[in-house]
Amino acid sequence: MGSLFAVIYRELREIVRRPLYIISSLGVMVFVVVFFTTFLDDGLPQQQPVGVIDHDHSTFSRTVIQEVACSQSVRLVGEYANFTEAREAMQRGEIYVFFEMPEGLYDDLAAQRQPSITIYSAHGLMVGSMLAYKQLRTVLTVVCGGAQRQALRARGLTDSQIMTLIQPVVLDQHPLGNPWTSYAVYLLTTILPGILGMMITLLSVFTITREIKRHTSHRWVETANGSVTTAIIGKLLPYTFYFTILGIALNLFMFKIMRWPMNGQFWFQNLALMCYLYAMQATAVTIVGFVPQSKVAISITSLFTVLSISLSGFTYPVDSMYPAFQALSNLAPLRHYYLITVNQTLLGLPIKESLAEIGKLMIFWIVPVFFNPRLKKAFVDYAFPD
Amino acid sequence: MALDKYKGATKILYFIEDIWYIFVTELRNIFHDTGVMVIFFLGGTIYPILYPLVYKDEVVQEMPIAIVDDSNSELSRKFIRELDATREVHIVYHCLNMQEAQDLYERRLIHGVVYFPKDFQSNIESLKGQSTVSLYFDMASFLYYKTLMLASTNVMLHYHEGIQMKRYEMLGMTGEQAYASAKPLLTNDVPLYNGPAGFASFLLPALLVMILHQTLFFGIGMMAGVSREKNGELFHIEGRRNEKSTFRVVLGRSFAYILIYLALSAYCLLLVPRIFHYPHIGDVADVLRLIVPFVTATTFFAMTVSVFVRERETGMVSMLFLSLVFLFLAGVSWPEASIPKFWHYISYLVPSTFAVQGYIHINTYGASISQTSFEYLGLWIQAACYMFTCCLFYYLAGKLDAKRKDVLINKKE
Repeated sequence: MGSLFAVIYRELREIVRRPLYIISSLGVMVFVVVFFTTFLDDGLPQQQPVGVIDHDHSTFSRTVIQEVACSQSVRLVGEYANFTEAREAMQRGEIYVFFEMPEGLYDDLAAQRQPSITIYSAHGLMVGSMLAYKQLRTVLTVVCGGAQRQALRARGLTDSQIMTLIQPVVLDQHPLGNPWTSYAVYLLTTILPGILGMMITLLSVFTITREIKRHTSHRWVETANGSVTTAIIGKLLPYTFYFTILGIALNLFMFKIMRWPMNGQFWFQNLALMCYLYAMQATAVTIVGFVPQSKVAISITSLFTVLSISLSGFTYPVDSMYPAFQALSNLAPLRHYYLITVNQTLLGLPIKESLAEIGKLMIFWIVPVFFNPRLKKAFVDYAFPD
Repeated sequence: MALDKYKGATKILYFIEDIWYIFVTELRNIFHDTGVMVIFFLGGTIYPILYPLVYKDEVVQEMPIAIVDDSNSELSRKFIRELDATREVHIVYHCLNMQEAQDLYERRLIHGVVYFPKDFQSNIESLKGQSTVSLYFDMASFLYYKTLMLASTNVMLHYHEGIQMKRYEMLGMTGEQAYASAKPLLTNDVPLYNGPAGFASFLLPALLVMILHQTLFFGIGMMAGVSREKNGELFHIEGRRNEKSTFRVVLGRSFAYILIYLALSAYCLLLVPRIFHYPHIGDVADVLRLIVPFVTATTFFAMTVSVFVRERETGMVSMLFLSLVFLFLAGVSWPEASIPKFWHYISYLVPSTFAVQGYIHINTYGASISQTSFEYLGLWIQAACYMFTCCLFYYLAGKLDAKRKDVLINKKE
């Protein structure tokens, strides 16, 4: 025990001497929280830019344009003379979607000749154009329904009958657990812990490899009475403590201050976050075990932590990936933390449903032990020069 | 070595010789540093292959869902059959009640539930009111939501037509006339570019640019840190005091990075989309014309920031999170039109913003360079501004480093 405290004391002295990294990680967390919450303020993107080509110039086509211009979900930015002009505006990125009303639209409509409006959408910017397309479609359906309604009223039907006629089936949406279908909630409950995990991993790799780099690691292991495990635990504990506080503060912010959906137990979410953060620290040690060269380790770590954000599957579902990547995703602690977050925040499942994932996170904790002999060689004998 | 001795042509010759010397030295340093090599070449070549593999399917297909059919009628079964026939969803369970479906959902066996109420058919038939189909979405991923929504909307629209036709026939209209009343106005959908609306086709072009931007950014930061660790100076030229040669150092070093990244960019932005069959309808010459200011601006941007890097690891440890921030600023994950004004202007400070937009315009939409002139000019302006700041900061840092070094040497003596 004495040697453990000696190592902790040694590390604390080092932190006090160069407090920049510890302070900057707090700064980074504050920045990303402010950045992402103000950035995704809307929840769901609105006012997507759309354009129109009107060959008809009738009262009907003007009504359609007015309806689109008044709609709060899309923003009509331009009226174009022909297709080429509109397409070029789309290529310049000024509009995501445009629609074309043919000549004789109104006359054809009046004569029941079924004219058609064409919607052109650019899918290159998926979220934006998808929303713009969906919203434009809705506006057109409403306008079109208006025309139908008039015809049916003339036949003597009541308004409610007309509605059942025009739209016999309605879709009733129930987004489970995230009633606002808020993009921010869905993205940030994984991204923010992802960044926190990224920082603790990088700092852990950094503080370990710096000892090798400066040829002080043999003295560090001596302080721990020759035990690599004690040396590593003692070195990482101050960061563990510090990041636990940051993590709980982050959870308090997300679920208590912002009141994002939390259908499960708040304390359990904190426990999961801690397990995840410690798993990331253990992964840091494992990476150093694999590549004990100080130069390479930090580069590998950054490539790994960035990739693991995609592998966690919160944007693109893991079950749609190649089987090899599905297996690989298990190596990212963020994947397991994300699954627990879904269970807790969205589903509100009982805790026992998430215990398996907690167990998997704990497996990460013991993996570094297998690298002890290799690490000892690296720390004491400097056996792996750059 | 005093430069004043040499006049005219000799002076220029020496200037070029210095740049050449620094350029070669920098290249040698890069290729001898495994850490930087991992970032530049492992990151720059493997990542562009890895990401297309991660997002291989592009769309969620045959997503498992459950049905709860309380109506148990001809009309509801028709709806269910049509839903099952879509590419997007696959009905794997027919549940007796919502409790059963919820149980399956909680066990993560399904990603959505579709519920038909008892009065589903009777409402439609009696013209009493609208019938409701309730959709329960798994919100664990936005793609689950989108997939079920898309499939059921399409089925619903198609379904309406059939019902409406019958109705109008009941009202005494027939054939063509009924069809025209059911659908007085048709809408045609023409998806331009990226036809299948795949996830990867929209995200990947942006990711490729981001990979180049970020590996270059961190690689340069690392080189600066390494130099500081070795010599205590941002750049050390033997036999010359570096404050006199800031411009030469900046040029020589930047040429080394630009050369490497012109090659890597051509590989990432031209070759990779062709290998993996992602959109690439742009003109090769136009992509190349965008690459030049992109690489130049990014190099000087990174060199400007790298002045603050004191150790090899500093850049990574304290700035890796910027990769995510830059990705959002580039306006892909979140549509550019919805970015708050403040962040929108901030995004103009980062080369990746213009590069991502410009690359999508050219590569995905087939725009010419003149059609994306805003981004193209933006990159050149950034290149010029960051070159200026880079020279300025290098000059100041050179002075500070030298002073600090002198103090250290004096202390030792």
